[in-house]
Amino acid sequence: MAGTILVASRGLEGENLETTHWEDARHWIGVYADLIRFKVGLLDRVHRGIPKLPPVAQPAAAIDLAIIENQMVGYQARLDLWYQRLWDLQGLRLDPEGQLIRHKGREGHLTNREFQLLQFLIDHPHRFFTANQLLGRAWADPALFPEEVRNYVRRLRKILADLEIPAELVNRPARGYSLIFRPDN
Amino acid sequence: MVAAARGGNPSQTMDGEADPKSASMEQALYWKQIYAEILAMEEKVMERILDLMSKQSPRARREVELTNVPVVAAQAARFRARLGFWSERVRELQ
Repeated sequence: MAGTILVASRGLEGENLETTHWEDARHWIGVYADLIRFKVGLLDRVHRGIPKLPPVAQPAAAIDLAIIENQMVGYQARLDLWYQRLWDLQGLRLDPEGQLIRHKGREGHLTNREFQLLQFLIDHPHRFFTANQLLGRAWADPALFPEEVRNYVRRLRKILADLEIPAELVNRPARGYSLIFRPDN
Repeated sequence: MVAAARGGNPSQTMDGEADPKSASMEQALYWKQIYAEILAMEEKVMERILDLMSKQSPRARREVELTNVPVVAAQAARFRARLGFWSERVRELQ
């Protein structure tokens, strides 16, 4: 299992994080997103199958589960690295001191909560978070209500659009919010 | 791949599994049934892998061929071998 993670964290054949072409980053994001989708589908199948087995057989079948989950952690780590590289190559910079966001010569000032939310979403690419999860993980602020997340999301979407950042803050039913790179730009 | 090798070792038994050489008919039938069930599940997992692979990009498919397929194939081979031991024991006792 550890060997499998090592393979994933080392990268796949032909992968080069030092690339200076953002299209390469986009390509590898696509590959890892594909692999993660695959693992999610497989995990679903194994999760459904194990409880139907006699209890004595379940630990043996759970080996599959542990292997798949560990591989997925490795792929997610690579996806994170490629997203970081992509934002880097796209010229996206966050300045925590001044709470500024810069993109290709444009600049925007963010409030503390806008900055924290954007930073969290950029640091956790390609994952979905419900409003409650964002409250707890992006802000850790019990004083906020889930409804207020929508307000901050709207404000961030405007900032992304104003700075022409090729990303969308999407909201999917039952899954939540995620910052997704928009490859058409 | 270490995990594949471990998963594929046919001498690896389940917790509480009797020795096929000295097991009773009741034990042999029980473990034959257990291995038949877990092998059926493993084969369904492999079917699911192949189904998901058909929708993947060539590069992602290659990665799955190198990672998941050997692990599941090794697990299935182990369960098939254990099922063989227990089926043989049932035949001996009949």
